[in-house]
Amino acid sequence: MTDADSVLKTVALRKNYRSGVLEVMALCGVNLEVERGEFVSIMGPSGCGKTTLLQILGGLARPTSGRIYIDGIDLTVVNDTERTRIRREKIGFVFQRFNLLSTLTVQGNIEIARHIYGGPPLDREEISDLLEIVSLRHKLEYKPLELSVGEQQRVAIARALVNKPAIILADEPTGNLDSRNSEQVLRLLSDLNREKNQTIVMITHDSQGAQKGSRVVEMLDGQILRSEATALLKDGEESSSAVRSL
Amino acid sequence: MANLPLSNIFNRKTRTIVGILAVALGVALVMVLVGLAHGSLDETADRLKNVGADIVFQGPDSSPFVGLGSATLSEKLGPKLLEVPGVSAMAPVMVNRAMQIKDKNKYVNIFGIREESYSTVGQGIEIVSGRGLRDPLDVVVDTVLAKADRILVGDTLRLINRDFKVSGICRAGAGVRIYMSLSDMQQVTASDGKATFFFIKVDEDSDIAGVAAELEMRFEGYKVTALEYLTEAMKENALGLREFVRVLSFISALVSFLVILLAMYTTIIERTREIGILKALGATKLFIIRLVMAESFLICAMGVLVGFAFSYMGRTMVLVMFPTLTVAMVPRWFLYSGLVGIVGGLLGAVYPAYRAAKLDPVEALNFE
Repeated sequence: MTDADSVLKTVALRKNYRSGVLEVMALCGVNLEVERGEFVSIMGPSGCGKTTLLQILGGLARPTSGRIYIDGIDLTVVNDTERTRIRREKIGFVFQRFNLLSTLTVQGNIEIARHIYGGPPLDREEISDLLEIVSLRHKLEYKPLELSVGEQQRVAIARALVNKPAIILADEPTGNLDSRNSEQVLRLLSDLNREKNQTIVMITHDSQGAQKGSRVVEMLDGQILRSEATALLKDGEESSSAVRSL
Repeated sequence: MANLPLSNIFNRKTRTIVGILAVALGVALVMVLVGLAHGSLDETADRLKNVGADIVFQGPDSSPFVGLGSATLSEKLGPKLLEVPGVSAMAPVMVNRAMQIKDKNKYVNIFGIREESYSTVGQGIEIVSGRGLRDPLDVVVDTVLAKADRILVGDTLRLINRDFKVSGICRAGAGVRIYMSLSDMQQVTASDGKATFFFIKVDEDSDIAGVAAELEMRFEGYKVTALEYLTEAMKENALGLREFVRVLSFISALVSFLVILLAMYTTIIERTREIGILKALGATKLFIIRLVMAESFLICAMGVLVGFAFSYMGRTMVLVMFPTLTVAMVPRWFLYSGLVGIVGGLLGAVYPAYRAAKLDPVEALNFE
């Protein structure tokens, strides 16, 4: 079991890939714990295992060994169907490439997430309210390709929020954005974390952007090198000793 | 509610149109060819029924397709038939075929009749221009054939290796398209005193089935068919008709199957990333399968509807190009051909749907 306040926890997580005859170790015993309401930024050079870690945390891939607990449920012992259910109910994804469904409107992209979730359909007002959070209420009927890249990413964030997930996993959400849009998206994620107590785990290359979170985890060669509270947190919330020993 | 199958259909227009057209062609193919087979049979049977007689009396082992019969009966049977209680009139008919009309290859049945007896079993030949069969080597053609081949009263037609003169045009819809006197046909075919079958008229007070049963009893081995059952008898005896229809339905289903398989398979490859997104959102395998199947169903359903429209267009084209043919739009075949198109298409979508459901979400999301 995991701690009561912990929304996500990994224990000795390993992931090996086979690339031809070579066995590549993408993750080598990762221990990570994220508390409810935390905004954790994971940083590291390309190939250090950040994305693999995020995919495993989101139940998109299985680890070779180790444990992952999402809201206390061990993802490594459940079957595919259960893993899909947990992903649907507990996790919201935000991708670097936005991954909106191009044939649907903004409203359709929001609705499809709810449809998959299986809850009661959202009425137009609820969708508008959701889009209000990302300041896109007026773009309800637009299709993704009619939006700027920054707007597309904000729609993706709204979509991730539809089912009130326990945790949002953001894979380099500003990777395809210019600095102005990056700033907007990071501020949005930060606001969600601060105002709605939304737990967020974000992968980023941007060290400045990483500081928007409450904690920065640095990875190298499939391992966590260090994990420490950001200056923001240190300055603002002295009492919250978010540093996790590994 | 976001309707992903519907939006995909409208956003992938070329794929959708190709899919719809392929299913539609399959459906139209079935409708028109089955309609042609049924229509020809129905029309032939209807024309025989419209003669006005009640029973067809044929020699042993004859086909219900009277046009295929040989002149094996003696005309002398006629008076004996009249002795059967309930029989009020009979008319001997010899059947032959024209294989060419005005140098064009055609297959048209010819009745050799005696006009005086022929009119006693029904309304006879209704002449609309010219006159009936009066002189030797006279022929009468019906309005449909006359129109199709631009035949006029006074024209010469070479039939059964002999020149005949068109003495009149009769109203179409009863009997056959060409009539000549029984004597001429007997002479030309060296079959004096012979007939292929007899039309029989039953007394108004008598029961047709009862008279038919009496005829069967008195003339054991001879074939007696009440004209009201002729259509069914012809369909039952139409060699290969059922097989033809089955093969046709199978081909149509196969076309739908292959086209939808190909269309959906390429769609799945093209939309790998989209499926990855849906999986990342928590879509189950069943959800993905339902999505692909729903999209295929919509394409097939639209294909079926377009196919029905194509069927009517095809029917019109056939009738314009070949006026002597009949294409019947058989109501139950709308259901059958529709099912063939939809079931064939849905079967074609099963494998792509399964493949989509099995896609690894990480690989799908990384698909370029």
